[in-house]
Amino acid sequence: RPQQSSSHAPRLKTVVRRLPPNLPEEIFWQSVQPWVTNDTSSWRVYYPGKLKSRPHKENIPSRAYILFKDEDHLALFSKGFDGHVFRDKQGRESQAIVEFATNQKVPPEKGKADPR
Amino acid sequence: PDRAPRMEKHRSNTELFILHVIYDVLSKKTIDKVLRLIRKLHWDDPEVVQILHKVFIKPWKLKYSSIGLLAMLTYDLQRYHPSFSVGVVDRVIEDIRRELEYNNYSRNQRRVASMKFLGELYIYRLISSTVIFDTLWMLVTFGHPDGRPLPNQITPLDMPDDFFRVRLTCVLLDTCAMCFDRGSQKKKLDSFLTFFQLYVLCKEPTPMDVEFMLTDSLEALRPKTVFYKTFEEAAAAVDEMISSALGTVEDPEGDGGDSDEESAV
Repeated sequence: RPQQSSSHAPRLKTVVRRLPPNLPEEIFWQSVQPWVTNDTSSWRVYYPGKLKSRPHKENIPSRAYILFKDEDHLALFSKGFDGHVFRDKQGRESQAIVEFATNQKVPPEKGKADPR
Repeated sequence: PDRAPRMEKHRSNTELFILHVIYDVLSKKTIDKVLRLIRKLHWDDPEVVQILHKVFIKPWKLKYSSIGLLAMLTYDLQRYHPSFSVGVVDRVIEDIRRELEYNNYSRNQRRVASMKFLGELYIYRLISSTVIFDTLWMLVTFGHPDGRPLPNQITPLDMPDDFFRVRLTCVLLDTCAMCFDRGSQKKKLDSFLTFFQLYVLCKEPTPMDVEFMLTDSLEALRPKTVFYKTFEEAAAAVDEMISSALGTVEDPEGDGGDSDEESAV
């Protein structure tokens, strides 16, 4: 069974949850620059959330996934950034959390082109 | 009324086309055609990919019986658009977690669909069994102090008369747990089922519909299961399970014992 190795291999894919729904991608990457660079990580993706206009609807927080090159860099990031508080102009606060991603899969560097 | 008329959502032709293909055309007979049509879309346009992503992360908009087909499409697209498929999987996992954190009953129907989709994604090998086990354990421990549910313990996110997580667990078990039929995965499932019974016994007496659902799910997986009748019985079984796991693993387990694979075949 192919999956079994995954539980033994070091977990390097990290998720940053509960980022402000309206946080621009560039600002996020700037804020993690001390830990997340091309030297420390090999893959990154950011999903902006959604600020709901109607008051009774819950906002969708933004999220980011980072694949670190080794466990040490991941640990440093988690230590330095977990619990980081973002505050927007209206004074709303969001506290980011850093976790191992449940799904450790990342896309391969080179995808095949679809001949369609 | 003083309220302005509701504005109709403006959708581009591409979006209307995608919605039509997924919601109206997709079926067992047409899935190859649907896949070909989706592959032909302009994948280099981020807007198109965004529309597709939105459709794929909302399995509750499809017929319940078509959710498996959506997982199959996600699998087929992985070959050419791996980032897309990984993105869909990550979002589904995030939604399941976020909904546990809110526990808003008005979205229960959606949550059932997302859980079904997760199980189907495992069937199509888009996720590992670890993801399924992590999710199962999360369902029976999340929000409970030390991850140990107890009778009469009031947990705001999972009240004693709230059986919704039992339903979610059964949906996931029904969808993919039949795959865990040998080796270490079988053992992992056995451990989980023991704990799952403890979880249910911490709740108020189960209503009849929940009882039936539970018996159906468990009997399908383990026909010879003897159900624990009391919390004490189940607690003793869980304690034994944990101490025997601790006896064979060097590092004590954290949140529920899904990490032990030591005596794997």
